[in-house]
Amino acid sequence: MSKKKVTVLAGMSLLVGLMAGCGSNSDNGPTPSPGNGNGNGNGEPPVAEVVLRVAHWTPTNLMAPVIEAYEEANDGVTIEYVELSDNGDSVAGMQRLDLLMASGENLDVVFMPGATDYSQRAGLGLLAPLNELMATEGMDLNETYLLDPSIDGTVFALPDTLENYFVLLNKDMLDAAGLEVPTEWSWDEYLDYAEKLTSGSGASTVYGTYFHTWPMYWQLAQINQMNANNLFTDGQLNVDSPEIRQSLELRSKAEEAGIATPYADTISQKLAYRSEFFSERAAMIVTGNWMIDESGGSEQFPATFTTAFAPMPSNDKGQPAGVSIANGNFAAILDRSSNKEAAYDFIRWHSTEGGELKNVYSAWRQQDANQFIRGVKEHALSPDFIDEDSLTYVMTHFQAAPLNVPPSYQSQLEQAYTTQTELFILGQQDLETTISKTEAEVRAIVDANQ
Amino acid sequence: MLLFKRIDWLKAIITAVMAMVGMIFLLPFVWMVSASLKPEADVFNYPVEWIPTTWRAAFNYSSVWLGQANFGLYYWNSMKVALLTTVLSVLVSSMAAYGFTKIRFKGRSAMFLLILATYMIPVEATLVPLFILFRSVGLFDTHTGLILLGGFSVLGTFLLRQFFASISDEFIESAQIDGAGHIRIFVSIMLPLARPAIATYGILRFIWTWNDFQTPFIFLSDRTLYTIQLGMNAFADRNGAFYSLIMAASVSAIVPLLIVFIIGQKHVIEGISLGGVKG
Amino acid sequence: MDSVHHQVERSTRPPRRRSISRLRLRETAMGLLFVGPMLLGVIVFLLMPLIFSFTLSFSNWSFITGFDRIEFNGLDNYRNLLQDDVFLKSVVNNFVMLLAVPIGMAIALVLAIIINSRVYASGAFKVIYFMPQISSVVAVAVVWQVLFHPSVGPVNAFLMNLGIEHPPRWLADTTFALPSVMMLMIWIDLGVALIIYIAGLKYIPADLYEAARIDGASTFVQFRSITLPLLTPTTFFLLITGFIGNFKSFALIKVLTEGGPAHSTSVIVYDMYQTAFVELQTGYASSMVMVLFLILFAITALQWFGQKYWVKY
Repeated sequence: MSKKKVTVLAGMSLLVGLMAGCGSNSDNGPTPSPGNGNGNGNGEPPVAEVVLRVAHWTPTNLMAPVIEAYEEANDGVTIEYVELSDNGDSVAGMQRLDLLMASGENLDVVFMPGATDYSQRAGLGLLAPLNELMATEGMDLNETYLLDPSIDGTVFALPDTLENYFVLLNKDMLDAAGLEVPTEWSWDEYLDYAEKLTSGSGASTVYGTYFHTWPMYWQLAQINQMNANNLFTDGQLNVDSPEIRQSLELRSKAEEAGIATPYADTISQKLAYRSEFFSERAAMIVTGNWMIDESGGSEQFPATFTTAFAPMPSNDKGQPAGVSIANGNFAAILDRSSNKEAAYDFIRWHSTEGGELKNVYSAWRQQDANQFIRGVKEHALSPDFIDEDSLTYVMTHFQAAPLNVPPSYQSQLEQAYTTQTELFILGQQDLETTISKTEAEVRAIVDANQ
Repeated sequence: MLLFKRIDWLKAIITAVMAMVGMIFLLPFVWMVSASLKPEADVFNYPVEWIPTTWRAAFNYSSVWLGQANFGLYYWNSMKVALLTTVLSVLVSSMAAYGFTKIRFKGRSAMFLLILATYMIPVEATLVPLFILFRSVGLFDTHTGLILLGGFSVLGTFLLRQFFASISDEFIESAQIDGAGHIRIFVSIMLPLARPAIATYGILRFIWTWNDFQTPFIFLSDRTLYTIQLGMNAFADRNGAFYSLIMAASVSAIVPLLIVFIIGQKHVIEGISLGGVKG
Repeated sequence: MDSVHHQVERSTRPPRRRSISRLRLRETAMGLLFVGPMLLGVIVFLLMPLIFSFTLSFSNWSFITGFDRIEFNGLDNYRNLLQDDVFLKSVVNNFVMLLAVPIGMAIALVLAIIINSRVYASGAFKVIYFMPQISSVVAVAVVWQVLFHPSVGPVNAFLMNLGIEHPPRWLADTTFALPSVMMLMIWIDLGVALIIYIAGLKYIPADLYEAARIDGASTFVQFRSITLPLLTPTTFFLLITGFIGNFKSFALIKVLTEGGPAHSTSVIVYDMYQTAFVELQTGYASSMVMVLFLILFAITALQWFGQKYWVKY
């Protein structure tokens, strides 16, 4: 069957062309960018005026100091900031970014809030390969950064921040239960702690732990592995694996023992992990390093107890704790940008010194952990409620598993898996059924995308 | 006996029952008010604390009105957009409804069905092409764009068409015999007769426009153009929503809706006096 | 469409018979003048996007990549839809949810009649029953969540007091989530149908009831032979728009359940939104829109041609 014919029969490509025309007419957005970064073969580096259009979901006022600092240090470069969200919502920000791209907006640098978003857009061919620019600079990715975002050898973005995972504990509750802040522990011990930290009944129950709805909470015993730490890695399905089994078992054990917030409550009440932890309805949560800042209290969730930190548990006693996959924000250059060199300079700076300026947990190997902690404490409302010893321990004993950039259809895989895990935790199918159904569905998605 | 005549007991009992059932319908509002008076950490306490144990009303409302967000401006923008959308939509819809019921012309039914068919497309499906269109014609990031989008409502045309159809043609015919054209008949006969229907639709359009989040979210980016629903979004981020503040803003935002509803309903009641309906 | 016939008969009556064709031309011009603005708006803002979606539904394309990367793939998308379990489940859910429309309308009608003439302070009741429509969707959803909290909510506490050991987990229950959403929909949209019915009641002349009462007709007979038939244009409107609106529901699902648990409350538009804006598969999402459109078109056409049997203008 000739597919072309169908198309012609539909006779609608004309209209699409028309719409496309509309789109490209508006290419320039509000202000045309006069930059012509390609033409700097004349010896002198970019003293020629370059305007970089940079899109991020951070509100303008928070981004301004960083941009100013960069412009000051780089003559002739002007950054035009495109705010993708007014409240720092990265999901809404990505939606705005996609719509802007669809309407032909001229952007040079775009940021993405995670490996899934990154891989999706790289897979669609929107991002410029950086290998040549990196070679020109002579930068070795693995010596410079903790994360390697290459996809089949091609690098489409630099890691801008580093997100890793560990455990937050309510130290006051630990003390009351006579428990130590753990440094080496396994999931069994984690459940043990959860049991001892559970108290009260009915509406005033304090649960030992709370698991949020994100897919990673169904992969807890997989994301702490050095390799094969996702549903599908290196052409290999990892669903029917001891790690996934353990992940599911640990969730159902906690659920059945009543030592974790019931899943039905979590989804029907749309619980938020912050309020569960800071309002002391759950004593421990597995979370990521963006919560370090907030353990010192925020305006809406003032700190009322000391927060301690523990490394990611291991699967078994003999294995080391503190291993976790690392994720983060990614900074990329759009393939259609005509200022690639200048854009590259900017993302190199932003992912290193810029991160230091913002005091974010960056993927830069030269970042100073102590300085970061000092910065956090300086900004915290109640710095004394951050348990510094355990924080330092966790930060220095963290082992980043090498980043496996997920396939561009990762969100479909996660959706399929979550569906099955929900049936499992709500008691509607057993472990084996869950594994085999997930395996079948995930395989079908992978096959369809080959 | 006299008392029995003055108070209709059956009516009183029905009123009492209706009031009890009505409580369920008031709950969301009561919850909004209650949450707007509490500290964030207490919003989801169980059992529900309808009356706050700790009061933070002053903090919440002043964060909304005097905080970083320019809430007064958002209020004004919403007012402008909702009002103009309603006026445009009522005008366009009632004209179309008149055309579809009281003027006979070729293709009338087909056109109406075409319009009705477009109502079947979910808004979410039109976002991408409309975004591209709006950016290319300069309607992106303008109030005009929002007003135009809301102003052409299939629902309004259909609703008014149904009501116009039940108003007798005899009025129009006798006016035509007196030499009145369609424009005069529309303005001086149809519009007054259709007051209850127009008021009802006007109320709905105003409220829906006022409460719409998605359209301004997609089609506005300049903060000085924000509507109230967008402005409220500042109290939520990817990490979760601050319900106490959102509810303080929502309670503040509900006042104009109540006023519009009450004024609008008055016109529905006054409409009773019309005699010119089909029997 | 009885009235059309009447109108045609009458139209031969105007004074100057010889200029009928000119009159007809003028009527057409006037008709277009009145209908024109609406028609134009609809073509630009709705019809064009529809044609756009229709075209894309035969392609494999992501809207963020630009039109030069469009790949037409014939009927592949439609073929895939037939094997897409989530989509099929969404379609079924959509049909089940339609039940909420007549139920909601019936309740609204009863309430409208009661409020219209059988209570004191009818104005206050209109406001009260309309409240969920005015209140923020978030507040409405939260109140529902709170009342139907699976372990400590008042509804389940009550059920447990009645001796039911394992009451439904409502929104967190694959069986009860959809009915929960439907109940909530009825609750929210009741106010709209209510005030539209009240407006409809205003168009029923009071002397009809007067005459019926003199004839000794009971309240029920009056309801059946006056109120119900004269409200049919309103009922027809509510039914058609209710089905369409219900089929297109998205915001409430997104706020309340995000289609879960395990897709038990997923509907076509929610699935389409996820496909288009999360998975970035515009072509595939467009084919979902077209299926939705076709289903709605069929449902509406059925009602449209059925109206002559029961709608009395």
